[in-house]
Amino acid sequence: LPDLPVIAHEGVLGALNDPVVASDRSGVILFLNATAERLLGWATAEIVGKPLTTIIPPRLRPAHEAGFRRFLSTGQSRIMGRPTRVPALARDGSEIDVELTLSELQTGGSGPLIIAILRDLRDRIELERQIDAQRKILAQYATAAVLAGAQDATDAIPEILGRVAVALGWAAGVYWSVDTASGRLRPFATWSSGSDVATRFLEESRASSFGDGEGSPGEVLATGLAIGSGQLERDRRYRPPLGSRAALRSAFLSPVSSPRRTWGVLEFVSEREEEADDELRQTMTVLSYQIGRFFERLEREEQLRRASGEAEAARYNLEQLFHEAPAAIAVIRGPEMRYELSNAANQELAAGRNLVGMTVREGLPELEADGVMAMVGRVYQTGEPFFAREYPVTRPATANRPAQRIFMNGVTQPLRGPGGTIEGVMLFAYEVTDLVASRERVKEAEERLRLAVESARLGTWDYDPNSGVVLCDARYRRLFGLGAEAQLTTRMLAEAIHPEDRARATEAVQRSFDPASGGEYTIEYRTRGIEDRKERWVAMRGRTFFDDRGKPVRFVGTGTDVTDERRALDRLQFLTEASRILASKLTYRETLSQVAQLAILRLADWCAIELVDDGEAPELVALAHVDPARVAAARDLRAHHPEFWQAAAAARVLATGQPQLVEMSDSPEFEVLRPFGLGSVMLLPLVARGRTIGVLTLVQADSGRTFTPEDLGFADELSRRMSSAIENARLYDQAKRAIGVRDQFLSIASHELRTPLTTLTLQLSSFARSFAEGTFHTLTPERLESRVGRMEQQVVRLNGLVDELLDVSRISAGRLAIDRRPSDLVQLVREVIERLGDEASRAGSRIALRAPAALVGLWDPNRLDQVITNLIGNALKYAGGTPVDVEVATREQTAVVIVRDRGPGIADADQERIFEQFERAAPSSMAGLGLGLWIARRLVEAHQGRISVESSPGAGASFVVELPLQPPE
Amino acid sequence: MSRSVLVVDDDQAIRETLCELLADDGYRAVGAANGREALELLRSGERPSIILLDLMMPVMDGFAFRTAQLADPALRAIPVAVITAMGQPSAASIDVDVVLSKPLRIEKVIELVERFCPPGG
Repeated sequence: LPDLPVIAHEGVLGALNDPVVASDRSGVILFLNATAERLLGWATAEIVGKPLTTIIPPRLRPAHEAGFRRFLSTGQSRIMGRPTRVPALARDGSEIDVELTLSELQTGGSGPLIIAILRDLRDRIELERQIDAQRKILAQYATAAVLAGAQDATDAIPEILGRVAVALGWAAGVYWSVDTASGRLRPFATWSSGSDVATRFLEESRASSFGDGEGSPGEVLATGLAIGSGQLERDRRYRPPLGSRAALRSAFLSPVSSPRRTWGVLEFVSEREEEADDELRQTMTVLSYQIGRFFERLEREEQLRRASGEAEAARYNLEQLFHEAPAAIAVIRGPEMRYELSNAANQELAAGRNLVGMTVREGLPELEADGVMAMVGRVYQTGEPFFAREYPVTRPATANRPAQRIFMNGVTQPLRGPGGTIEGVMLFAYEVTDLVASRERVKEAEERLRLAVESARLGTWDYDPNSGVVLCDARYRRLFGLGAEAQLTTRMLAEAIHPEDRARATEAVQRSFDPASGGEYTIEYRTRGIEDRKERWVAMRGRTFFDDRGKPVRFVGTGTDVTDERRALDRLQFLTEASRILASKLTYRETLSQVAQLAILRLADWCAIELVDDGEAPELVALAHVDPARVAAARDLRAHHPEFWQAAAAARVLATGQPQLVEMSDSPEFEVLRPFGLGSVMLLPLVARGRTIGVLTLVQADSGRTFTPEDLGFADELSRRMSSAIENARLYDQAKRAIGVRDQFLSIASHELRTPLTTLTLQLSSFARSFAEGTFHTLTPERLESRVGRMEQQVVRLNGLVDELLDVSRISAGRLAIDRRPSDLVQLVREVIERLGDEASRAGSRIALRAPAALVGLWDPNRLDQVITNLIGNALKYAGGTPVDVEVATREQTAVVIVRDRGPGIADADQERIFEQFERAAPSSMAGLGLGLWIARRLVEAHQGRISVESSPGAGASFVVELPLQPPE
Repeated sequence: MSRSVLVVDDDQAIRETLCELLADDGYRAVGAANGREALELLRSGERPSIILLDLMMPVMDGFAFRTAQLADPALRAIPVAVITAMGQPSAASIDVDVVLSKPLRIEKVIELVERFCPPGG
C-alpha cells in the first residue's frame, strides 16, 4: 500500500496549535506546520529537505548529532518523549527558548517519522519574570503593612523577616542590630524556613557578633553599602565562622539606616542561586529604608512617651516632640490662619520654607488646590476634627526635587482657648506615599499577572489544605465543566477527574504535599465536566508551600485546557492505527469493519460504511455503534427507512462526491434518527478512480456532542485512506481475476493441445508395438492409409491451434500486420463456405448465402478469411442442425457481412464478454481455445471496422462485421 | 461375459482410434460421444468389462455420467477408468478405479483393459 507519509499527516500536524517539525530517521526535515513556520520564520518550501540542524544553534549541533546517532543505533534517547527546554534557531539567526518534545511516529511503509513539538516558551518566561517582579513588590508591601501597624520592633522585625523571605523565596534571615553600648552588631531577630541548613545557619548566627568592618555584616555597617553574593561556597569574603556555608548558595546583606543614623544590617540567605540584580538591590534598599524609618519612629515615640511622663519638662518636651516627631505637626492660629508652630517634618513637607509667622495661603499656596485650606477652615469654624486617610497633597518643588504628589494620614483638630472658644487648629500628619505606591504597584502587578494568566489561557487555583477552601477563577472552573458562579469543593474536583486518571492525580497531589518533593506539581489528566459532561484534557502545574515544620499551608497553581492538542495527537494515532488496519489485509470488508470499530472509540457514536456497485442499491459493509446493543436498532432503522437513505445526504454525497456536515436539528430529513438522539452527521464520499463508490457516515448523537468543521477535515482524511484501501483491494481482485482467467485459459489450451496428441500418440505407439512384435506387415494398405489419414487430420488440428496461439501472441504484442490489397469479399465468403462444406454436412446444417456478384475493397484477404471462417465455424457449432444464413451487402462506404444461426442464442450479459480474450459463452466442455471471437474482433478492428452481435436467448445469434471499403485517411 | 470395452469420448478421432486398436487386440469395443449416449447404450443391455471415460464432454460430462452410473444398481459394478487431458487433481475428485492422463500410449490402454477383462472370456 503506498503509505501516506508526511504528506498525509500534514492535515493533522498542521492543525496542531504548537509548532511541529517532522523529519525522517536520517534527520532530514520533511514537514513544518504553519505555527512552526511562524515561530522559526521558515517557509515549508524553503526548509523541507534541509537537515534538522538548520533549526539548532551551531554550538548545540555536535551534542544534537551525537544524541541523534545514539538514538538511531541504540533506540535510546535522553530527550525522546521528555519535554526539554532548549533554544531553537530561527531563520533570522535569533534564538528562541522552546520546550522540545520529541517523539517517534510509526507510519507503516515509509519508515518512522521523528516528530518534534517546539512549544514557544517566550510567553512563559516573560510570565515567570513578571511573577518574580511581583514577589519583590509583595515583599515591600508586606513590610510596609507590618510596619504601619507595628508598635514594637521585637514583634515586627521577625514578622518582616518571615514575610520578605517567603515572598522572595529565601531560606533564612537575620536582623543584626547595632548595640548602642558596644557599637557591635548582634542578632536582634531571626527567621528560618525550617530546613536543616536554615536552622544550622541561625544557630551559628545567634552565637555570633561583628564589630565595625568585621565579616560581611561589619563591612556593610562600615561602608553603608549592600552586598550580594551568588556563590557563597567560593566567596572567601563572606563572613566567618559559618559551617553551613557549604550548603548555602546565596546571601544578601543590606544596611538599615535612616537620615540620622545606621540601625543595623539585614541579612538573607538562600539554598538556591539568586542573582543580586538591580531589581533585588532596589527592593532591599526600599525595605531597609522602611525599616530604618520605623526604628526612628519608635525612638521618637519613646522620646515622646518619656517627655509626656515628665510634667516638669513638658514644655521643652512638647517642643522636642514638635520638632523631632516623625510626623508633621503644625499649629495655626486665628481666622487668618497664621502658622504659630511648624516642626522639622512639617518644614520638610513645605520644601524647607520657614512657615512660622506666615499665613497658610502665603506659606503653602499649593495646598489651596488640594482643598487643605477649606478643610482647615471647616475645622476652625465647626470644631469637628478631620481625620485624613491617604489624603493627597502636593509637596512643593525644591532646587533638586520636582513638585510631587504625596499621601498623608493624620488628624486636624481644633485648639481651644480657656473659654472653650476655638483659637486655632493643630495639624498632625505623616506621609504614607510609599504604602499607597506599593499597594498601587501590587495592584498593577496583580492586574498584569491576571492579564498574563488570561492571555495564556491559564486557570488558577489556590487551595488551603488546613481549611480545605479552594479559591479559583472562572477559567479553572471551566476546566471542570463548571460555570463561573458554581460552588466548588475538593471532593467535586476529585470526582470530576476521569476514573482512569484519578489514582495518578491523587498520587501527584500527595507527592507535592511531601516537603521532600520541593512541592512541585505537574500533571495532565482528563476531566469529565461536572455540569456540561464534556471530556477535557487539562494540564496542571503548581506548587505546594510549607510552614517551617514542613506542613503544607498553601497549594497554588495554574491549569490549562489541552484537549485540542491531545485530540490532535489522538487523531494522529487514530489515523496511523486506521492506516495500519487498512493496509493489513486486502479483503477490505473486514478491515473496514475494524476501522468502523476504531472510529466509534475515537470519533463518533456510530459509524456506517456503505458501498455502491455500479448503480446497485448501497450495500452496508460496516456498522458500529458505541453501544453494541444498539447496532441492531441502527441496522433496522436503515432497513425500515430506505427512503431516508435515498433522499438524505448520503444520496447527495454519492451524487456530488462532496463531504457534508449536517446538524440534525436543522435538517428535517434526519427526523428518523431522533430515537438515537440529535447531534450532527458527517457524510464523506469514498472515491476510487474518480468515481464515488460509497459513503462513510459518522453520527454524533447519544453523546450530545456535535462535529466541528475540524472534525470534518479529519474524517475526510480518514475517508481518503479508506478509499485508497478499497481501491487497492479492488485492483488486487481484478488482478487476481485476470490471473484466474489466464490460468483457466492455459488449462483449456493444454487440454485442447493434448486432444490431437492423444490420437497421434495412440496411433504411433501402436505402430511401434507392431514393429516390435513383428506384426506390422499384416496391416493392409487400406488400413494403413486410413490410420495415417487420421494422424494427418490431428496434425492439421494441432497446426490450427498453434496458429491461433501465435495470433494471440502477435496481437498482444502489437505485431499484427495487415496486408491490404484489392479483395473480393463475396468471392472470399464463397470459398470459406465451400471449404466448410464437409463440416456443415457433418453438423447437418445447410449454409445459405445472399450476396451481390462481387464486393471489392482494400483488405487483407487472408485475415478476412480467418474472420469469416471463425464466424461460420461457430455458427455451425451452435446451430445444432438448423440452417446458417450468410449475407454480404454494402451500406454506403461500408461492406457488411452477417452470419446468422438459429442456435441457443447469447444472453445480454455475455454479448460484450464473448469478444474478450479467454472468454466464451458456451460451457467449458465445448472444444476450442475460446480465442476465435477475440482474434476476429482484433482483425476487424485492424481494418478500422467493427464486429458486433445481436441475439437473445433461444432466438439464435447474428454476428455483423462492418468493414470500410477504403482505409480511412 | 465377453471381453468388451465401452469408449466414451467426445473427440471422434480418439474414440475411433481407441475402438479400432482395441478391436485389433481382440476386444469388442463400442464408442459413445458423451455420457448420455453411454448411459443409453448401457441401459439397452450393453455390459462392457470396463468403461474408458473422458471427463470433458458436451451434453453429459464424465462426472455426471459416473454419478448416474453409481446411482443405478444394475450398472454400479462396471469398472470405470478415466482417461482425461485435464490435470490430475480434478480427476482425483471422481470416484473411479483408475485415472490415466492424455496423451497416452496404446500399451497402457491394453494393459489396463486386460486387468479388468477376464482372460479367455
